[in-house]
Amino acid sequence: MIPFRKAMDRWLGRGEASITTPPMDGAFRPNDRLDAAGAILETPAPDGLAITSQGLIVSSGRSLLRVDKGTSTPVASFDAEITALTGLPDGGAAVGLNDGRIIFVGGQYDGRTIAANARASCITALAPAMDGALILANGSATNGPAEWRRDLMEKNASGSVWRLEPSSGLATQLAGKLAYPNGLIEEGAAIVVSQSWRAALTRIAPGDGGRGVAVLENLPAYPGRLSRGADNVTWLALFAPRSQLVEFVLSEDRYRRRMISEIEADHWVAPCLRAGRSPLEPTQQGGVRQLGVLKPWSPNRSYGLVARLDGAYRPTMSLHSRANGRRHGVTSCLSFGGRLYFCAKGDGIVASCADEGSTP
Amino acid sequence: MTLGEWAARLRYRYVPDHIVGEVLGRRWMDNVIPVTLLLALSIYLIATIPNFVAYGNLSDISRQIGEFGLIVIGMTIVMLAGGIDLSVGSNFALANLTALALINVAKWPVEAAIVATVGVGALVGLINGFLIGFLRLRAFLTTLVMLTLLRAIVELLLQRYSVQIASSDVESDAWDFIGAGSILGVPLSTMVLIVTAIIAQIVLTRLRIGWRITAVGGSRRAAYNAGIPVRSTICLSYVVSGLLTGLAGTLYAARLSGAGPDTGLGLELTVVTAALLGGNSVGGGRGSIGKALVGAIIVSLLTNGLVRLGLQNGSSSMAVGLVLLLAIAIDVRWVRWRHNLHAKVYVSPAYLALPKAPSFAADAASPYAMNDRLGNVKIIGLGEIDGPEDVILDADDNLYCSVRQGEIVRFLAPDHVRREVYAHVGGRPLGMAFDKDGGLVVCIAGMGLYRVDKQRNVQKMTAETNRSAFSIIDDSRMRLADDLDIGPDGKVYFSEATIRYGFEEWVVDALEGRGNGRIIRYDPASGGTRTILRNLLFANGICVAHDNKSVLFAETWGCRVSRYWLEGPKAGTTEIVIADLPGYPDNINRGSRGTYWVALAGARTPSYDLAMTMPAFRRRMARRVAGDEWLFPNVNIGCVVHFDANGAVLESLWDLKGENHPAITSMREHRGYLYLGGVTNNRIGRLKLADADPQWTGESSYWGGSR
Repeated sequence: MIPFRKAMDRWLGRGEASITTPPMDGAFRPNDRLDAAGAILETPAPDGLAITSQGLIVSSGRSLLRVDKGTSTPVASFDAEITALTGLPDGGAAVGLNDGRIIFVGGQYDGRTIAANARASCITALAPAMDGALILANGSATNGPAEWRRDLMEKNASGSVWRLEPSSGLATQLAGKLAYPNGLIEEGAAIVVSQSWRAALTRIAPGDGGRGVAVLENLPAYPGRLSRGADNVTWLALFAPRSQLVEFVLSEDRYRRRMISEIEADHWVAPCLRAGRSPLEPTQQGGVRQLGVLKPWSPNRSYGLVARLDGAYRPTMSLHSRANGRRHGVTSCLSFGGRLYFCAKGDGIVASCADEGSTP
Repeated sequence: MTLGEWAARLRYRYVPDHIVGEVLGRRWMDNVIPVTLLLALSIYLIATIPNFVAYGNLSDISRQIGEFGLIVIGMTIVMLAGGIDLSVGSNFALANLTALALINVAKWPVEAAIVATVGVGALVGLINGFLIGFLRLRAFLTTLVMLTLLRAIVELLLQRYSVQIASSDVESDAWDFIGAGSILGVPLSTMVLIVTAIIAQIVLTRLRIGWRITAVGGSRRAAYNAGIPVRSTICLSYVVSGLLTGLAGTLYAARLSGAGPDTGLGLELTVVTAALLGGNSVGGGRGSIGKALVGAIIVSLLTNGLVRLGLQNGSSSMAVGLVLLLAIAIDVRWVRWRHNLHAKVYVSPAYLALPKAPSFAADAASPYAMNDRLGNVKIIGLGEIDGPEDVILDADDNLYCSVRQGEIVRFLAPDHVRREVYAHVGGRPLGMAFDKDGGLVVCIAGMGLYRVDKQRNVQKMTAETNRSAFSIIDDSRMRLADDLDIGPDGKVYFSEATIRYGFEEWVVDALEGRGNGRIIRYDPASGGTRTILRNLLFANGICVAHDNKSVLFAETWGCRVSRYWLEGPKAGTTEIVIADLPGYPDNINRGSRGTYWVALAGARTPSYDLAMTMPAFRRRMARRVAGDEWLFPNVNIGCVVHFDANGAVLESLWDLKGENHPAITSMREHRGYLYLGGVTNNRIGRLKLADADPQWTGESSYWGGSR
């Protein structure tokens, strides 16, 4: 009966095949706090944030910039796009590049380059481990970080998490078959990974054979970078919203395949970091501007969302930039010196607001 | 084109999916189950019972049906008014006894006896009606008590008169004729039923009192609020029921001349079964005489057939009981089930492959290249108007727009700052045009074609056209009159965007992408209305050409502009003028120097164009995804396209950010300026045109010569 029922469900679109997304409610109740935050730096596509001995730095395109100094003097520039960034305990930073190389800036390994590993060249996140090693998230086996939309629409789960010795460059795989791991946080011996396409956080412990245990599921948006705040608080950047329409298109294989092969990626029915840039992008009925106003609750392919998680990774509070907001596509957030910094990659802004997370 | 696409195109062209939903939406669908049941039962009985169709048997059955059907009609009328009459069984027995007593014992003349008997039945109905209608007692309990009371009276009277009735003999040809006679081969009681049914049908569907009965049953409170005398209407329904029961009792008396304690016993249940089984609602407001007759025939055939099949006596009651349960179940479930299914299958997307869209990238070498010429226009009435779908100017430069509140708002010349409600027309006014006498002709969604004369009187021009031969939904009534234009002879050409949806549901029509629209011509001289073009993809803007020899019209989902020839060698034919617009065209209007303007309410998107070639994808989307989440054409951008008489595009004006004028649905050129309106906007825009004739007005272009 079960296989028969599954087939029926798929045909009629109910049961497990029904198209649902978790509501923005509870800890995810919408507000305008990302939009209310004060802008610090406007730069194209700010992606990652890190704390180093030079202060707070942000990656933008091929450069690392100091957030407080702005674009005037880049900390460092590279010959490829930066796709991941982390601060190291020794005050340096590790940078992942689009071609799979990892380069250290400052600290004891300053200037050192680890050559690209063919099996882990889609570097989406980096994090230092307690013992001085580097943890690396490889988003996809087939697509680069810039092609994350393709990875989602192909319904891949080919990502992996690696451990890297900075001194020797030796890499060992900790877990595989992850659906776009896109954020890392080390937790003693274990690592918590955000799997974007499963909309979940997973804990990978040494003894579990790389399978992992879900610590947070059914997120209303695609989770990205993770960072540790004060009082054992974890900050999670969710870079794009899940929507019924996208979930529906994901369930429609024929349309999905033709869309991937016939249409330019910017015009797909897929989430993005900033929607509405081109008139060729798909729109949804609820997103029609009425009397000159785009309603904040209207369905949109982009959104701004940062969530605060408690010690058990339960969401306790969130900051939003809604459909009509101007802080969409938040890829990183970081709590530093009593303030919460975030970069809205979609809108090219680094901003900060008071970190209420540090005062329970 | 791949084989799969070719197959999809054929399948969606030749399999009319939309008919299923349309059939389910028709009211006559309510009769399908009863009629099917009737046919099945008849076939079964004819096949299993020898001589079932023999004249004697049929005549016998039809006499019974005649009497029975009268009571069912009465019951149906009571049920239509929201009540129930359980006293019919005893009332029938009382009428039978009264008739026999008056004729056999009292020796009254037949005519007087009939009148008195029917009067007794009506009196019982009046008592019921008074108690239920005026004293507002519960119908169920009141008539149940009446059933018991009347039964007791009948038994008391029987003890006194039964011997006399049985022992006396009546010598009356008239009485015998009533009992056994036929007219044109039809038994008299059947004839009475037919006549009664015709009268009842006319009363219920064509007379005020019939509508009132249905209205009271549909919603007592709403009927009261509408000024209907609810109490007397309810009372009347019981009187009619009593009267028809009395008539049936008379016929029964004449046929059998016997009075016993079991006359009419359990009849109320059989009657209710018949009325319900025919499809009449026990809750009131939904039912018809036709349904009553079908139910009556089914139940009569069933009980009669069971007897003839040789089943035991009790089994007949049991069958009636089971059928009653079935009828109640159908009554409760059918409407909801049909409604649900109808909602699910009504939307039936079609295959629509649009020609490749021309690029409108800002650097493209096409006349559609995006610019920001509409980004900085003068704004009129910001925040004061809600959705000016169409704008038009008169000879004195006053600016009119049709807004969502059902009004024509006028901004006064010269600066268009002061505004007034020119006329309240109701509905959702859309396209507008001035006629020769300065009257403003308006297309109103949900209403039709209307005219506001210079004294601001609003008159209907037309709201109905000829019905298509094979249309299942009634397409004679206009649902979404959209835009119009007027020829030099005064004939009005107007578009109806879709015949399947109303104005609020135009989004669903977009999803469907079928040719549901049409163009209609209204001739004020003769008052005639004719549909001249059908199956258009959301017929929208319409414009009589400068030379008056043809009409240009836009098909929104088809992203094209076509021409319909009024005269010349190609009269009556259609040809495409612009085949591949990069967006969704709305209104078309004349411009100066022999040109035309067409508004694009939105831009085509590759994802939506792809979806239009995949109807099953869209059907699933409509069912599984919430309406607000549906994939949709991009109407957050606006554009105006300028083209010449041959369809060559001269220029396009865009609003890049979509801040001022997303979803432009209308534009008018007037004295060197272009005025812009949008169905979801809260403003009108005004833009100075560089190359336009500064003297040109629409007024002079249409009527300059004739006024």
